[in-house]
Order: sequence, then C-alpha cells, then structure tokens
Amino acid sequence: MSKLKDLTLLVAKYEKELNTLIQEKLNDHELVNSANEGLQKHLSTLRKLRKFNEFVAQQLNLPTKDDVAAIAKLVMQLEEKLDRIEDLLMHLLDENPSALSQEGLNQTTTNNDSESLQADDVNEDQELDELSDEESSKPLKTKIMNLLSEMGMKVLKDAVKNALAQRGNSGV
Amino acid sequence: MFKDPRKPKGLKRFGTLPNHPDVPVGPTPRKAVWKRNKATLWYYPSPVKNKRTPLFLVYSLVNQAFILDLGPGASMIEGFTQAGYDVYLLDFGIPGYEDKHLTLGDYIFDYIQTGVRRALRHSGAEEITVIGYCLGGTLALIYAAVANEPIKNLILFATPVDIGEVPYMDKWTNAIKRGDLKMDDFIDEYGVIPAQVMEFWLRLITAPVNVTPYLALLGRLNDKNYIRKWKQFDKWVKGHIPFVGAAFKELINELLIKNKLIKNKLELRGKKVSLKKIKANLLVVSTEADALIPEEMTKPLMSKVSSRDKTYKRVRGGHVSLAIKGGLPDFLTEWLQKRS
Repeated sequence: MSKLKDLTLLVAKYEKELNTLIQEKLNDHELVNSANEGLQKHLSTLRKLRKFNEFVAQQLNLPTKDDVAAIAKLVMQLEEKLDRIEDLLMHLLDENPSALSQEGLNQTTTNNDSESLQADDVNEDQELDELSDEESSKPLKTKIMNLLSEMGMKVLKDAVKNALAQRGNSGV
Repeated sequence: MFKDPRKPKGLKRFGTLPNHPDVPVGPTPRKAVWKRNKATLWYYPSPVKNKRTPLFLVYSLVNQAFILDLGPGASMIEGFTQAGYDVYLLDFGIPGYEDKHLTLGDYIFDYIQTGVRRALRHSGAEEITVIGYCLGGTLALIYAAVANEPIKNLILFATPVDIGEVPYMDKWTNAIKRGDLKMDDFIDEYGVIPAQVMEFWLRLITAPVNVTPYLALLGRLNDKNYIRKWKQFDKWVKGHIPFVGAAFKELINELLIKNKLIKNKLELRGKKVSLKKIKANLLVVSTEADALIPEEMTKPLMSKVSSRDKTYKRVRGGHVSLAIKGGLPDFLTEWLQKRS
C-alpha cells in the first residue's frame, strides 16, 4: 500500500508539471490562428449541412430542430404568462385580504406556504372554483379581468372568462 | 479459484466501477415551490429552524447544482439546514436548444428576481440572504445591483467579477478580445454550447491530465464510504451541462472583452448595473488553490460596493472544496449567525 502511496505522490508531482507544460504549449499564438481557421472551416461545413437539412426537411414535410424549438418556445411563453397571472393573483390576494376571508381562501394561502407545486396547482383550482361563485367573488374577478385586460392578453382573458363561464354552467 | 495475495483487495471492484449503477445525490429533504422552464426553486426546510433570514442559493450555469448537496456529510445545504437556516436553491436545470435565446437579463430578472420574490413570499421573511457560487455568484452580484427586494446579506464564493486580465491562456483570451478568434458565429450556429465542449475548455484550464483521483481511489478500494463519495463527486465533475448561446455571447462580449461589470457599465434590459448600489452586508470568499477563479478576479469587488459591512475571506482549498466538505466552515457560521 505504501508503494501505491509513493506512486500517487510521484504521479501527482509529474501530473502538475505535465499539465503546466500542456497549458504552456497550447497557449501559443500560432495555435490560436490555426484554431480560428479550423473553426471557420467547421462553421462553413455546419452551415452547409444545416441548409441541406432544412431543404430536405422542407421537401419531405418534416420539422427541423428550429421548428421543434419554436414550439417549445411557445410553450415557454404560455408558462411565463401563467406565471404572471399567478403573480397577479397573489398580488391581488395580498391587496385584498377581505376577499380572502370572504372566500375562505385564508386556509388555502396558509397551506400554500407548506405545500409543493403540485399542491399549489390543486389550490389554484380551488381558487378558480371559488372565483366562479358569482355572489362571493365578483369584485376580485372583475379586478383580475381588468388587470389581464391591461396586460393586453386578450387570448388569456377570453380563456379565463370561458373557463369561469363553463364552471358556472356546469354548476361547479 | 485461489486468491492471489499480491493482488490488493477490491481491485476487481475498481475494474467494474464504470458498470456500477448511478450513485444517488441530493439527500437533503426538499420541496419544489416554483418552476419555470427547466428551472426549479427548491425549498430545504430546516429541522431546527432558529434563524429569521432564509438563504437563497444561486448556482452556476456551467455545471449542476447538486454539488451543493452531494451526499450526507458532504453537503453545504445540509450544513445550512442543520445550523437552523431555511434554504432556497435556484436550480437552473439543464438547458436545451430551445433555450438558446436566454440572455443574462432573462436569468437575472425572470429567474433570480422572481425566485427571490417567491422565496420571500413562501418564507414570510422580511429579508433574505443571497448566496452565489462561481458564475452563479456573478449572477447573484448583478441581481443584487438591480434588486428591489430586501437583500440583507450577499455572500459570494469563487466569483469572477473583474475579468479584465485572465491569468491563464492569455494568448487565447487576448485573441478573443482583439477579435482574432471569432466566437459569435460559432455560438450562433450551435445555439447552445454543447456540454462536451464546456467540459473540454474547463479541463484545459484546470487540469488536462487528471490521473491522481483514480490512484487515490485505488488506494481506498475497501472503503465503501470513500467510493460512494468519490463516485458522487466524479458524477458532478463529468456532469457538465450545455451553456445557453445568447448568455454565453454576453459573457464574452460584455464581461470578458469589455469587462463592463467591474466598470459599472453593464446594462441589462435598459437597467444600469451599478455595483455602488449594493448596500447589503457582503462576504466574498476565495480559495487558495482555485485554478479557475483566482483572487485577482474576485477581490477588486471589495472597493466597488457601498456596503458598510464587508468582509473578504481567503481560505484553503480548491474551487468547490467548501461545498463538499460537509457542514459549514467556522468563519461562515460566525459571519452568518451575527447577521441572520
């Protein structure tokens, strides 16, 4: 075992020297220039391949990586909008504690502090359910709709309106 | 059938190590309190909570955040929770090609700022301590300079701030600065810098040849605990993640070439990032054997902030030593205790 220990110490010493040597050799102006040339050639090949790929995908009606990324980006944008709505809701609930007590949301907010995201989703559903109760949540609902309107998110505003209407119709 | 007495015990185990099942990391109990895109804000409740100010950890974009909670007895997060702090960790996750457009501004305002707000709301605390590691420290610093949230303490570990003079591979950095080595087209074409490229660059800077850890492992093949820790760390070392192209370009052009952060000339989303605006209690930590982020890149920050209470601490160890040592170093315990 002591031989292994000696070997480890010896290797550690030479490893450090070897690393310094490699770094010194790599830190060379000529090498930088060669790397730059290689990089430009590599880029040129990549561009040609990408263009060819796009051409073939177009002919075969297949999505490219950029098309898939564009869809993913749309999903991300939706997620961001939901995030902003969630922020606004929380802001409103902070602003309007009386609305909280009216709707029995006090419990929900307290629970939010100790539950995971999945539980939050359930709570959000409960909040929306309670929002659809015409008698108790009218001012809060109007406020949310006004704020969404100010944000210029007509689509989301309509979606929330429809969702609330549907919940109202189904008697939930 | 007969055992060779000359053969060290467990040598067979060494040969089969690559085939062993994936070693688990991140043992400290946690809950997700907020998610956006690939990012998650994790909440680690303290079993013995006795501090009012929670901690908000920002990890780097270069590697994975589980280094802060590697395993029992090798976890800084565990150290914090055992000391009575509630911890929030912003884990940026692993970016994909679809994230190529994310900028530094997005990371600061959409992820860190929103994350801090969520943590403050979730904890019910009036103030928060922001802690940044490596590049996460740079992000935490930029955030602190534009934040509206009540940041009581700012702690930075191995954080690059002044990148005017990079003390290694100067021919390469100078070529980038002069425009002889054009990176923008390369980054645009790839969208995200592949994880393998990130690993290759970082290994070139730190240790191109790295045999010693394997010899150290060979010497302790009968120590299961050591093998577990070794594999957990190895998993992190080899677990580089892709780097988002837009943010990488900003790092090169704004922070490396123009060194705008330390000069107070950086602007994100039209907002000026002035380090003078930072008034939080500041603790900056650098380590003596950090080949990646030497002291010259970190220390100049001390004269740029308005904080009255500021401490610079240089300690023994490498780039991630403090994170994996287990528990909290005494100087950190003492510093935080007085200010939390």
